Amino acid sequence: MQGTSERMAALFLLGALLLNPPLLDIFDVGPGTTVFGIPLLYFYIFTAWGILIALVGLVIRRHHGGMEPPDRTG
Amino acid sequence: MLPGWLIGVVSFGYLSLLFAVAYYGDRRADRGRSLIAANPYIYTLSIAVYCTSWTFYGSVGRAASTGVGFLPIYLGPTLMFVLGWFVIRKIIRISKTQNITSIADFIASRYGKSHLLGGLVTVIAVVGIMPYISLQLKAVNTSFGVLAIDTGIAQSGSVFQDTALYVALLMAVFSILFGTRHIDATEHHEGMVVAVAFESVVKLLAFLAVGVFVTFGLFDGLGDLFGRAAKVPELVKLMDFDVAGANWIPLTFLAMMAIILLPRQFQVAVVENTDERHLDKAIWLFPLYLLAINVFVLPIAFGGLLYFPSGSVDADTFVLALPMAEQRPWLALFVFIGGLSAATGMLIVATIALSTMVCNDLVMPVLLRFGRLHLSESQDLSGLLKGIRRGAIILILLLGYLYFRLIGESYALVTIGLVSFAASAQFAPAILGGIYWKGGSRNGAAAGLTAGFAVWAYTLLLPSFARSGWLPGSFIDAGPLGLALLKPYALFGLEGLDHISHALFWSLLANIGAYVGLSLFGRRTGIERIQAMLFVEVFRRDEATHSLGHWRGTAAVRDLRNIAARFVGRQRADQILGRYAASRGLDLAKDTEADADLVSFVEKLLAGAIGAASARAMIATSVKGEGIGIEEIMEVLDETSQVLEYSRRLEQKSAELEEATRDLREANERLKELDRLKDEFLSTVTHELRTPLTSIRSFSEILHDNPDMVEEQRNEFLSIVIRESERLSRLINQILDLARIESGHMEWRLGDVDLRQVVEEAASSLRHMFDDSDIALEVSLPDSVPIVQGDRDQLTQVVINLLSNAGKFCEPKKGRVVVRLTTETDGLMVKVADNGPGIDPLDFGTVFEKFYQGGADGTGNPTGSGLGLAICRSIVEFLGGRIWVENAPGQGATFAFFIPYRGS
Amino acid sequence: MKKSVLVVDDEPNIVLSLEFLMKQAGFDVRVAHDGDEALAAVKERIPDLILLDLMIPKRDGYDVCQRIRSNPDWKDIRVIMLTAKGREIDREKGMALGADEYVTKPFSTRELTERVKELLGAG
Repeated sequence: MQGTSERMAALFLLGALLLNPPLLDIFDVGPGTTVFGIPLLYFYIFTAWGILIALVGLVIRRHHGGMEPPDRTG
Repeated sequence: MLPGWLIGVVSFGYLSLLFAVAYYGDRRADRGRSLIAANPYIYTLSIAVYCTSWTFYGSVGRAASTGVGFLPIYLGPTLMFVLGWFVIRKIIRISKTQNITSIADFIASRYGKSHLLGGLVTVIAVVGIMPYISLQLKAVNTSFGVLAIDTGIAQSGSVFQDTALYVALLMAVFSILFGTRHIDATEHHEGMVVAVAFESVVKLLAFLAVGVFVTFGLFDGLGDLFGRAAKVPELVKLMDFDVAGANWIPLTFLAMMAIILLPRQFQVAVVENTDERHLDKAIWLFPLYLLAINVFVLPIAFGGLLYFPSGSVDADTFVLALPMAEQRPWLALFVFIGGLSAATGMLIVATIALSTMVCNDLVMPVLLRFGRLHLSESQDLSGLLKGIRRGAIILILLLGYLYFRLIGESYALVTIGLVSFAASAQFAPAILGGIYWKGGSRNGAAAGLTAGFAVWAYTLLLPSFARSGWLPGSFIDAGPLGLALLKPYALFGLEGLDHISHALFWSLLANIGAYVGLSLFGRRTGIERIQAMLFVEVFRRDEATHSLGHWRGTAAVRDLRNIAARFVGRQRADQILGRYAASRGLDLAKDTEADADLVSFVEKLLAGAIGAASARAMIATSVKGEGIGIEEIMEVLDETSQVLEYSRRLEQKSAELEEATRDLREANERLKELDRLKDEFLSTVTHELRTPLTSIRSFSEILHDNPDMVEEQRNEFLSIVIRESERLSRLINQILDLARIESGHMEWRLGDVDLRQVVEEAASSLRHMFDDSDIALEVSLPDSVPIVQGDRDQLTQVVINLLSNAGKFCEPKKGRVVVRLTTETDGLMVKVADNGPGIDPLDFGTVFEKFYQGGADGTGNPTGSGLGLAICRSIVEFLGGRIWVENAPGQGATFAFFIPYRGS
Repeated sequence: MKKSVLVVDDEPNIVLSLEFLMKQAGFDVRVAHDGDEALAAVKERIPDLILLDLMIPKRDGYDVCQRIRSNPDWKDIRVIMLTAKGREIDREKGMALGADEYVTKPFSTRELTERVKELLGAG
């Protein structure tokens, strides 16, 4: 469980960083830059969001796969 | 344009489908094959009730004015759910172990099972969520209007043509049907959860449908859409982050709080959760849902902005207007149903959650405290509870409707929603502090909540009244009474923030400040400390101490069972207790005293029905010698004084009843004893009468049948007959006398009696007998004695009896009987002494009983009936005297009686 | 060989009358005044019939009857209970304990004598 807890906490921080102003401002480059026709900002946000979700899902899967005892979090 | 009636029919049809789904869900649950039990997907989808009509319509509207500014509302929950691994799990674990039924219950329980806090939270919740309810009604109203413009219906003119009202009423019915069937939160509202999950699917599909339509139908894909938008200067501005960025972080934070603290979210995510492991799936699946439902928001927004000339169509309605404009009414209808789904989902869950709180944490404690509950009637209170909840549902929906009518028009959807978010954020310090900081105290939480709520109301709620014209506009512009520092949108001069962020800042500042301040500098009671520990350390409890019972007393199993039955119904109580007993290997029929585990179990069971604080109050009345400490007892006593007072009175009454029963039982015993004695007496009398009769008959027959009998023998037999006849008639007389005296039918001839004369007469009448037996009879009399009151004949009878007894028990020739009359201070005494065998001291009392026959083995005395002394006693006692027997110094018995001068 | 009858009663007059009746009927008569005396008499010489009063001292008639019935040596003794207790349950109890006959006092001398003769005639 310890491993999973740490990973979760890390993911939270990652998400908070990725999806909030300091970093977001970087991607604020206006409509000019597009990825697949989508403005970079939008592309970035949704992709980052999706990746975050995927990572969380992975961590959970590993948690269950590792058959760790379900109790004991802080 | 669709005809209004068609929309109505389809809507009604959809809602019926919803009813059916909910009903199916409930039925499955009742039969034990719950749909929810094994299914994390339904759990996740139910959490998606977070996406209300605000998501459906308002997101596009907000995107149309702020670009990505709508996103924080969904990013916040994503982040919160990642954290949810710790936070939500802890809240769920605590709620399960403490059988929490609502967010108010959670807070109340954490801070010492405080009714005060529960009520406060409930009030905040109801007031805070009302705008959100009205928002849903407004959305339905507006969307209906878009779809059915031609018919002119649903312009909120008359109330009776107001679709919003009908929706509200329909939702009330639904909520009542599927939210108040049982009174026990361990049985979840299965039907409701399944229905809400179903709705989440519908709204997702609808939104995706219109999204796909706009992106690939109206345009050639995202690239085309955005490319064209980039060519419009106004729209380019939108793509800038700055437009959205101003309150990005505050909004994200706000949404993080809302996803678990909104009453309806707490309900579906925590209370309705059946398996902690479902959370594991939800942690990533729910954010995925959010992602999916938001993917097309920007395309739709830009599409709409591109399609419609600016300002002509309210951006909130793009999702409907676009299909309508493109002659796709059926798609629009589908979208409308999606929006309806979103709205009704919120309404149902919110009203059920709020009504539970109103019932358990507001109404019940008040009823308990003011004793109007008439707890003495041991009727099943579950009916009352259900009634309160149903009433609350109706009331809440009507209030929401009212707010909509009065205020709702002047706001964009999004803003209304955020106002509610900010209200629920006030729970954050109390809850988050409560589960991580043991130091949080009840007073701190109460102060924090009050302060936060007050600031919230001042900075968000009141201004909304002003904006709608219910308060003067100067309130906003210049501050109340012109005090600029108190301008609701710029408190203490803090400018530059949008209203929401501003309000959030100040309210949380006040809230956290008061919470921490009072907690640090105040005292906590024992219960608070215990609850704090239970909450904060919920993961650290081992299985051994999993019984969180801290009842140190004992209670009767019977009492616990009755209390449980009172609130959840007898059947359910028996069922649940039975399962408990089975799982522990107990036999509750045998054990009469409940151990602390069982008491705790019942307490939690009750908490599910009436909330933790009230449950504790009820259990406290039945547990004897319970206590966690004097201090804590005083706390509990203080808050449950009503209940205790009642229970004390009840105890008193039941004690009186017990005593009365005891008395009755004793009287019954005595009666039975008397009855038995009477039987005995009768049977003895029968025997005594029959004995001489037998002799008389037998000898008479013998004499008759044997005429040739020898003369001597003949005479002997004849004399026996005569003697027995005498004996018989004497016996009969005695019995009659005794019966007369005892039944009060005796004819007493009271008058002056010279006892000297009486004794003399008695002695002389028996002289004959004494001479025959050659027993000496001595009579000792004073010269004169005072007169006594009495019945002369009866007194003579008494002396005769005593003398003849004495004579009978003396040996012939050697016997000596002395009768002495003496004058005492208050009466006269007569003693008759003999020198016979005497009487065993043990028999001094019984000698005067009926049928007592003298002599150790009763071989007796054919002339004694055993009634003589009994008659003597009756007579003497009637005349107010006493009669007794003593043993003379040199053997022999001395009978004595005393007659007072005064008489009876 | 004359049949013998044991008369058990604590009332001397009743004993007297029964003695007379039995002697007149041609039986050998012995007398006992209480329960213990009665059992002693039976042990000494087994009577053919006992006229048994129930309300006797030391050991009541029921007890005596029970003793007699529980002893295989005495199974042939006929027992006639003679008593002033006339209730139905008393009679039932008496018969249940093994009495051959239950007669309430006062009784008819003629009937009693005949019954005794019957019970002893057969043997």
